Amino acid sequence: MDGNPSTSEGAGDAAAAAPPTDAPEAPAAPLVLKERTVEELMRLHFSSPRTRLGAEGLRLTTMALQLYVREAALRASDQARLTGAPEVGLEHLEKVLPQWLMDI
Amino acid sequence: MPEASREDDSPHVQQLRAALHYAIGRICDDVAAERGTPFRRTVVATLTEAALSQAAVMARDLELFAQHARRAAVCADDVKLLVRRSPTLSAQLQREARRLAAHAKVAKERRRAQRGRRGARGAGRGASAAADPRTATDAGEVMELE
Repeated sequence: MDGNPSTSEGAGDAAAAAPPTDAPEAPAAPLVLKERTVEELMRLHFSSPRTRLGAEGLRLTTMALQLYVREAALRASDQARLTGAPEVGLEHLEKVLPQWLMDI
Repeated sequence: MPEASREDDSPHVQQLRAALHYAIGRICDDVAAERGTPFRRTVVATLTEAALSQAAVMARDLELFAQHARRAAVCADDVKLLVRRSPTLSAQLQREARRLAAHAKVAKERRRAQRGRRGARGAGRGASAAADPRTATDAGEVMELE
């Protein structure tokens, strides 16, 4: 499976899902997601209390999560535009979610 | 999609969900501004739940990578491994990782230089401290080298 967002045609059905967006639209936008939030979120799911996030690890994880979410939003928005809808709705998000889940 | 668990209802998790929801709302606002199409609130809510599920997966993977490398702390390499399947995420994270590493290197060298200067008045680098007249105090005692 080609997980490459810039070349994928979207699950083989060109009309179905909006293809993944092209690479850095904007150079990593300033983080709206707080590192504190991400740290607690991660720690919630670590199985060992000894596991922690280093400073660089935390920053990169926060970036990764924010970029990943932004990617979903961009794809859903593209899907809405493809269908000529006036707003981005659940039907558009649902179309792009499967590929999005596979792309990380 | 995400499996319900007892965890999901705790006030702490609700707080995290709310914080995430707020940030994701802003991310969607940015995309809406860029693309000219608004997002329905239900989309933001659903995306938040999806992000929460994925965050759990990310956390478990990151922990495993760190443990595999016999580390307690998740580091840059672990995150890079996590996003290996996405060329765009990999590219952006590599760039940021290099930037952070360069920063850390500069800061470290600065600290080392400061320590060196302080060390010239006291215990410090061998040769330079020995030659430095400042290492001899009035009492005639020469500070220990290294």
